[in-house]
Amino acid sequence: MMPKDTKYSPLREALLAEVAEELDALDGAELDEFLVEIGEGPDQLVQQGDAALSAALAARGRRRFEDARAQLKTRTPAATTSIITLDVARKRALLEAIRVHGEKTGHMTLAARNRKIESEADLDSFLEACLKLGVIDENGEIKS
Amino acid sequence: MGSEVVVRQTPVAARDERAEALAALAPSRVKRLAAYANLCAVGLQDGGADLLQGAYLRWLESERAVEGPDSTYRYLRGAIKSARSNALRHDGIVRATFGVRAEPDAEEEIDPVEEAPSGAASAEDAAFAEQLYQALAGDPEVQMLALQISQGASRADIQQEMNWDDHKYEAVQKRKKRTVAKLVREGKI
Repeated sequence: MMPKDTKYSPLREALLAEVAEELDALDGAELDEFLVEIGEGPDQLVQQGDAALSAALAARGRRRFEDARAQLKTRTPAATTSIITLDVARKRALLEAIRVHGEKTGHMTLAARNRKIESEADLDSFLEACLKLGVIDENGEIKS
Repeated sequence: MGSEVVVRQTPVAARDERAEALAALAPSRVKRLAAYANLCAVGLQDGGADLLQGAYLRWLESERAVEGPDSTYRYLRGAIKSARSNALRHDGIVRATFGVRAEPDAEEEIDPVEEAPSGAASAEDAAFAEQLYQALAGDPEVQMLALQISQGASRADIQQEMNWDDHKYEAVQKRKKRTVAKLVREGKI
């Protein structure tokens, strides 16, 4: 390890830059020879690179998952709330509009057409599904 | 640099253009990057593997266009260098000298540290130069070269002073780079 009493030094950074230039100037057996000379194992360095790539891909995947989860947490409740707070007559009118639109465009699935809406809870559930699928927007308007 | 194009088998399959660009880096480039990361990690809390992984992640999340292996390699090397500079600042080692943290551009490889005015850094340089001089005692020619460079002597001045022709200067310079890399890797400087 670097001695504890040594701090940032432009001279040290300049020397590191020189070594980087030397690394770039070498290839093949010469590069491997240089690496061995400074205490590195060429094959181990390739393995280190592969491991770093795997870890970076995994880290990116975790970040994307966390971002998606955070977005879902912040967006879905508000959107769902806006649909649920519509009065029942408006919800039923919207349901009918969705059916008509679905039949006209042929986009509505058989499962959706055959779904039984027996209560307001069923209606809310169906409209939430339509919202998530992007059939309607948060204001209860059909998306074209 | 090598122009070989080799797609290695990676434990995690590449799923997109940016990941594929990393997986397609030639082994020689991977060796250089890993070795450089290990050198840059000396004196930091993070290890070389962390610096390399951080550079890869930064590339994966970058919006910069994928242009080819040369561009990807330059970006990664710049990202490793930036990580070292930022880690030094984060540790408070240069904060007193440089003040506000500045993010270097990985692609441009412009490091604000290099262009910042010296001050306290010059005192550290003097201490480091002395440490380096002692560590190079096993090779008097390399030792003299390092000493003169640390004192700001030009190549022409050094060649005249040491009576070295171009070939001799290049040979000693090459030995110096290897010895310095070894000493840094061993944590001796």
